Amino acid sequence: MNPLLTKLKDRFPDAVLAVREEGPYKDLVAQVKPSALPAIARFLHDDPETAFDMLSDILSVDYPEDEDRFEVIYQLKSLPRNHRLRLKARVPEDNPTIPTVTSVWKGANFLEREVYDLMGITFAGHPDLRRILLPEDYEEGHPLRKDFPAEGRGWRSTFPFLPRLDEPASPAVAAGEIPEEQHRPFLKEAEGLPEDAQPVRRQEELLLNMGPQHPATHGVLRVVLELEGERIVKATPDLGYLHRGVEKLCEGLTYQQIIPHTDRLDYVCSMTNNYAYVRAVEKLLNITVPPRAEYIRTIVAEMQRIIGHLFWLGTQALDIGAMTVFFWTFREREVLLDLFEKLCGARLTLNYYRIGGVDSDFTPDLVQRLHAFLDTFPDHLREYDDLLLTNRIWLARTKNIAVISAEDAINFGCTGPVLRGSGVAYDVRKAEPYGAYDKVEWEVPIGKNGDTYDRYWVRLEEMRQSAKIIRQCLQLLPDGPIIADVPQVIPPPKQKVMRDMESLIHHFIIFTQGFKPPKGETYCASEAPKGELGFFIVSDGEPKPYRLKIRSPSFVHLGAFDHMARGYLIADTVTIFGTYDIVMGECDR
Amino acid sequence: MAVAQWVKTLTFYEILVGMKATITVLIQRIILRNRKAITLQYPHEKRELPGTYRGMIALLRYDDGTDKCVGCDLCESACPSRVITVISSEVEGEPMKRYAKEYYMDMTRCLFCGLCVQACPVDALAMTTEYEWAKYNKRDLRLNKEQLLALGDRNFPVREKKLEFQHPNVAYFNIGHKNLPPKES
Ligand code: SF4
Ligand code: SF4
Repeated sequence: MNPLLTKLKDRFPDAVLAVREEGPYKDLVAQVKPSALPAIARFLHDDPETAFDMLSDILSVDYPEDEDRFEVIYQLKSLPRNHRLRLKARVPEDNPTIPTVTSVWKGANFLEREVYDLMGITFAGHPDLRRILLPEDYEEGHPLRKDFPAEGRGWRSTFPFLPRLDEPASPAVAAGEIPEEQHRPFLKEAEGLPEDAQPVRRQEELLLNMGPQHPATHGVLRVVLELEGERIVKATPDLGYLHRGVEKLCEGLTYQQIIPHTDRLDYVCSMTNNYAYVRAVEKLLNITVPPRAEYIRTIVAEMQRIIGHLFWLGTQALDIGAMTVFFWTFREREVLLDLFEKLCGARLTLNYYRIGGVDSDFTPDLVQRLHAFLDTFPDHLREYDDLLLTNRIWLARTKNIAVISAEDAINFGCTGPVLRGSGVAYDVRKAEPYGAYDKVEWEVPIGKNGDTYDRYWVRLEEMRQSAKIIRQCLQLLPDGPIIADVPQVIPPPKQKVMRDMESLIHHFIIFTQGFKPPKGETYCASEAPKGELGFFIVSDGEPKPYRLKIRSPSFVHLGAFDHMARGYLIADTVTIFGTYDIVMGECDR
Repeated sequence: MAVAQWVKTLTFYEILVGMKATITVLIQRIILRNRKAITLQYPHEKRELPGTYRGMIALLRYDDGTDKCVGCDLCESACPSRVITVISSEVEGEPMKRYAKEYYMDMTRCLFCGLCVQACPVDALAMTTEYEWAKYNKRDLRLNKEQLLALGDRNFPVREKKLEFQHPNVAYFNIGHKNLPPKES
């Protein structure tokens, strides 16, 4: 038994119900009483031996058959000790209440709101328990509960406002004019003002809506700013405009059907999403990937990181007002996208990774073009440096803007460049190496001040490191198969399907029913360009996941938005959106 | 050191460095003309797409004009967003042979993931390089079998040869085991 679990059990003999190591990878799990949660959380956070300073994720699973219906799961991560723990607590259906842990980890604020929203579990003592992804007046219940139909309530073609494809078109609404009645409410209000309502000079805080349709919000995000003059007093992000219920959707799909859906989470970097997801499934199935596939995966993921960071650099510079950088970064991005297109036939939604390997192999032509790109890439990075690195406008807009200290960043659960900009050298690729990352040489760049400029610098440096990783991987690239040979799980090659009865049977079964992983649950984190992207899968032995939770960095980062925006100017909000590198598709899921 | 810094600040040195980068490109492009434009004047110019491109999906035929599809429904069950509807039926007079009587694809919801192509056991589906399919009416994007076959004819002029038992799994549908080609060992 792991000493950590023993210690926890000894310290709280009554409150800790069970401790165990789960699965082939020995994930540490502790089942605790919900009432004792704050004390245990405090202990785990403060004790120097456990030192769980980061809360990766909170999620809940619904087991309608069980006595205590809901299970709330806390994924903890310790940066100094580099270990993880899954803390679980059960709450009954008639009183689904559990104490909040926001006093221990500030990042719990958004995560608990999400659980409240989607599963209907109340967190006693939470400072602001409202729905977060769904609209606040949503009355249909909590969609992640098992009694909520996976189809949704009423499906697409039963909504009267959506034309059905198999019916003739209804007569078009008269040429797009807004009818008079719809103007009324606004007019009435203006007319209804009392005659003597003279404007008086007064002082008050101003509420300003930023978004959802604002070009710099990187998608559809609305932030309600409370202003004093131009200074931000409080910023409340309002999410969920892009909520598609991917987690619920995945409960109705087989494991390999989910891969194309992960493309659409962070649509700027879909390779790394694919990677994070297939790694989680492979961990669940406990299959090993052939070495060539590992190298190809690493190369492709790093290409995607360069693309993601180039995209970020261009848009952040554009938000701040530098136009040229945007065009130039897109020029380089295009080269890599062309390579992706050659490799797998798509540019953005790639669907390239497969469970157990990858879809297609590198061709010599592709490798050569990649080398050519790597040869010129440092020069291009130098060009961006010429434009930005010491530019006084850029410095004025980024230095000392949105500063977050290392402790706060960890406490909010920030990961990726946002955390490293504050000087914390945490990178999943180093801390829990996967792929070929432990076979090549590279460094984790870190910043000092935790401001926007440092995060910019960290990302630029990461691109250089990525280029270095790709170069080494290309040199080391071994020969061999690109997909593992596990006929129960991985569809056999097409040529065999055409010739071999047994392959044909496997092929039919995998595509009609899907494969059945063993019962169990697993959490697997990978380093996406935006931060730690984690997939948590609960399998009940069926071909479809019982519950799939996506820990998306953008969502967690937005939890720190209020903290980072306070005291800065309105004009800085776009900088702050940009500095997280948020993508709302991933944030809202 | 401090003097140099002052001079740099007063002369807008770093801005000049940045301007040099942009102006060099401008001169190369417009005066020297030794730098090619990277953008394309779409739709007048079009990119060359690789053969692996995942565009519109098409149904294929054999060289004698019969459809390859055997109506096995695998594509329908492999599709993650329920694009495909197959209604299969027996070939008249040959009760053990099946074909897709009707075949619909609702392209408004297709993810272009290519899983259906991977699932099809007889390679009856393929992805073309067509992509300009914007329509005014979304009903036009629910393609039927004829449209899908037309797409295939247009994009894949070279058709695969039909050998009666070329694919043992077709033979499997027809229970024609005796003519199986030799198995790969
Ligand atoms: S490409 Fe994907 S989404 Fe489209 S029909 Fe095929 S399987 Fe379905
Ligand atoms: S999988 Fe292929 S053969 Fe089967 S129904 Fe689909 S297109 Fe036809």
